[in-house]
Amino acid sequence: MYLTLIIVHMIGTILGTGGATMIEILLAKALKDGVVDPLESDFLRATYRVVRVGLLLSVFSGFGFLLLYEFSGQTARLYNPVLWAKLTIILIILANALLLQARKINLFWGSAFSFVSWWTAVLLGILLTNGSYALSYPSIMFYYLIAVFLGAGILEACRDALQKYFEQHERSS
Amino acid sequence: MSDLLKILLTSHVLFGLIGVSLLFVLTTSLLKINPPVIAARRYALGAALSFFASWISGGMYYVMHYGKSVKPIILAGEYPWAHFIFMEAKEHVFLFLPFLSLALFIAISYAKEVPPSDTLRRSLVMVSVATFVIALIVTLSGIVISGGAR
Repeated sequence: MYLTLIIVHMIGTILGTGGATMIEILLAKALKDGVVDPLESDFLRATYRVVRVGLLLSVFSGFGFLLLYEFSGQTARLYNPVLWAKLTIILIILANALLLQARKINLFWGSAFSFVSWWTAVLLGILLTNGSYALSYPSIMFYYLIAVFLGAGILEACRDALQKYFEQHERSS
Repeated sequence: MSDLLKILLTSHVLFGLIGVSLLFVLTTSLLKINPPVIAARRYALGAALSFFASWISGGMYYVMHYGKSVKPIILAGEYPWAHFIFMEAKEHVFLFLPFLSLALFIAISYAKEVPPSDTLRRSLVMVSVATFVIALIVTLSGIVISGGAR
């Protein structure tokens, strides 16, 4: 059972994090002319669906781990600050998805929260696997927020660089 | 813990998660410019049924095991508030979920007959978001309660 959960959780994480990364690349490519055409929109919609499937698999398998802790008497692990930081970040991913759908958050912050949150969740998952309890909840969330701010700027710079690259590539071909 | 209790607790968590997931999908559907009304109706009904199933399995687990074996451990341990605050709140607040989901199903069924106005759509979104937030709080409370039993 544990191995099954690990495999499902890994598949979910790969789909979610990979999808969130692909969305950034597809967005940069789609926005190079300032317009998202129907084909680009279709690709983006499919990738968003992949991210949601990844999120679903990760959440269900994650709760499977929590049940295994409960059944094996390892309930102390449920108060691990790294686990709660990861849960908080998953809540942020969900809230961000709803805000993006409602068009209540712009692309600059929306993509930063999505991209940084997924990668932070991966990092925290690795810390949880290694049983690291040295980090406190406030410190993890503090570093996460700094990463979101830095990530927003870096992603914008990457989008600009990718747009220039695509423009040059199109001109040369 | 016997196999039956493990099945009951797993069912409680699984059905609860299915309900939360369906509420999330329902909320994102309602936020679309052209909401898929028939699909949204199915999501709301699915969420209501999942929460009823979670209620039954969770209730059986509470009666058969939690009240007799887990609650005394929590109350005698370092985290009695895991029961006093979180379980006491969860067992009452949870009851909103199946009925709010059912209310959403009925309201969306009405919207299927009549093209939904902006006011009705906004109200549906607000109820859906509120139900989703309550469901998330209840889910997290479950982790706090389980962690308090040592």
